[in-house]
Amino acid sequence: MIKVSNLSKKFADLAVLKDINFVVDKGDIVVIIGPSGTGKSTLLRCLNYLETPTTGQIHIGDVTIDAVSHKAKEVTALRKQSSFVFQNYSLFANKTALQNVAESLITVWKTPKSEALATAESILIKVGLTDKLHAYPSQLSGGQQQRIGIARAMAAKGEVILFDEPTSALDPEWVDEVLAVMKQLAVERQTMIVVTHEMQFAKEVADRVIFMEDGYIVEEGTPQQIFEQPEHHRTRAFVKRALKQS
Amino acid sequence: MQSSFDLQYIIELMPILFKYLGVTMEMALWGFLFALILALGLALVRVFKIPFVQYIASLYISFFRGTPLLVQLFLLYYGLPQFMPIFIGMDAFTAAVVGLSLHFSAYMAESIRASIIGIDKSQMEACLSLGMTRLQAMKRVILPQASRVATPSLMNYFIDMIKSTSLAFTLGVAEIMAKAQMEASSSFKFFESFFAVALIYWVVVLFFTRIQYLLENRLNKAY
Amino acid sequence: MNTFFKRTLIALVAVSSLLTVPAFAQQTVKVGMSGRYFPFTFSQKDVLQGFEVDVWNEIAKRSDYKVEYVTSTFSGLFGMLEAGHIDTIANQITITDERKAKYAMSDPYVVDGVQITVRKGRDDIKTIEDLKGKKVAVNLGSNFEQVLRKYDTKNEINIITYDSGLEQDVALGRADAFIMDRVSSVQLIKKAGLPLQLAGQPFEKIENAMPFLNKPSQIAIRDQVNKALAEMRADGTLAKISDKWFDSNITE
Repeated sequence: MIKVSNLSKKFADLAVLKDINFVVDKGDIVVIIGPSGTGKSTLLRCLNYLETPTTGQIHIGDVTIDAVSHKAKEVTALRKQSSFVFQNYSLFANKTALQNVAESLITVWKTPKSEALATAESILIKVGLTDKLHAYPSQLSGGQQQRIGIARAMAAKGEVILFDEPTSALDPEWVDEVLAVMKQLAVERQTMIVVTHEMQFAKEVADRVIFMEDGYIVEEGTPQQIFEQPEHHRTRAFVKRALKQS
Repeated sequence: MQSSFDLQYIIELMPILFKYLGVTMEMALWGFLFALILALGLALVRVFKIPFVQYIASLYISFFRGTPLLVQLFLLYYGLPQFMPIFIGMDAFTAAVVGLSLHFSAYMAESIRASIIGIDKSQMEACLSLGMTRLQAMKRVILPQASRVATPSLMNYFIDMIKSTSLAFTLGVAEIMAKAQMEASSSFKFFESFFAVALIYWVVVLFFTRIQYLLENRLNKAY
Repeated sequence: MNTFFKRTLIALVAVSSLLTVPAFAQQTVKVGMSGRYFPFTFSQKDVLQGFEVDVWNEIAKRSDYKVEYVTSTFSGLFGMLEAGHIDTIANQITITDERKAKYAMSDPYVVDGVQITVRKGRDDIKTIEDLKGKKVAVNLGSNFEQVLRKYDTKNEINIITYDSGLEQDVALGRADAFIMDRVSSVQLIKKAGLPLQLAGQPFEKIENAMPFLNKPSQIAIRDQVNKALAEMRADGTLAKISDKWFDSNITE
């Protein structure tokens, strides 16, 4: 289970996140939507402590961490509870697909190398990259790289996978293959928090949708509630615009 | 002044000089090894901004980059023993290796640091997001990538170091430059002697330039 | 005390007792020289030889010393002496007031004069007066620069210092003359096959000796060296060594 309480984040004097509270149950697929620059990515990065929150508590799995009193050890423990899929893939440029996926098992979880590589191979097969095991990131398309990015996150044994606009940097032709992998994960009830502009994906796959604006959670509910009967006028305005575009 | 070029003399001198090429290469290899270790430490101290120590590192780098190698060698070999008798025990060869290491580590630290900083910060974030520590990330991902970036300049420093070992003759190390000078001062064939020594340096540098080329190709295979 | 420390202590005692044994055997004396000063000290086919080497081999034999030759550039030799890397310098070190004040000098073993040498065919330079306005080469660290300055009170001579190869530059015409002791000037001209000639007569007497640091342990070596030199002088060995390299006796 994931529980976020009273989370806030300031960059200098600019408040980017204001009193964020939400809960995600095991197996839930949560999609965060909202206009650009409203703190969605910052929230996701705070969950992984890639950004350090200014105040608030984050609880994932069996780790609880408080922004005011956090220690380096707790941060590492928290990160082991989740894994991250980056907008720009951020694959390890010096490692093959297989090594990218196996890395966390070897370094973080101390899995024997042969076992880690076998696990990595089976995950890569699952995301459809059987023939690219030994390719380096530079030799692959954006779609292939992002699928490796997801495979790497899957291997990391976390409670939850955090997706930070995983398709935004992709050429349109590669978007579907990445979404297909994410949908497959959803079917398997992998806990996911996804920041995305893909409204169709949110509607189809999400258990819950969170609408954020100006650093606040404005409204949250089922896709039906958010997309068809939004309570808040700002949600209504955003959804209308977003659906028209897609 | 007329004097004809004496090829025979060069042919006779070559084997003598070659005997001392070992000393030259030993100085360069030990010097490079220690310089690399020192430079890596200095670079990491500066990259991680370790409190206090980073300022010492900056001062160190500033001093050894800001003063001539020859002056550093003299300070080390002729100067220090006057203040710290323990350094009397340091022979000229050791002093030369220490001096070369200190001097080149300062340059190499900056080139390693620049390479590390040049690696996109998303690579570090990707490591951290998986639960790796910063040190693990350095070792497994950042340094391997930085080493590829740094290799050409580090190899250039190595080649520079090979040539710089010729300054060790000023400390009395019996290396090829010293030997060439000594042979020349009894044969008076200055041109031939220094030409022979130049040829040897040149061939050695060509050899390592080739190694550099092969190394870079190998490191570039992922890109 | 645990066993590790016990073992370490035993090892230390054993090693130090080994180290003290050679003290009863030969004492090693480190003699610095340039190896670039023909025919006093030079290297040919990688063999270090010359007048200084012969003299010191003889001193060592008579004193039961083990002699170790350390070669370095001439300008570095005094630094090595000061730093304690060598015990003395055998490189035709001329006795001067400054050196006498600073070091324990041995008795002189070579007597010579200061000589001007020019490119062959030049007859415009004969005396030190003729050097005014000329480029004059001396070896870096040698005392010939001071000798020149003593005469050149108005700073009219352009003195250039060399670490090596000054005879080459005079022969090439890059410098007008060089100043060195007469003995080595003669040798240089003979051996180098360069178009050089002596200009005029030697103009100052010089006495060469070996410097030691002013410390009891070093003065003890100096005294032993003096004793050996006196013996060598008395039984003609010194003259014989001189003859071998110079065909004349330069030692008195």
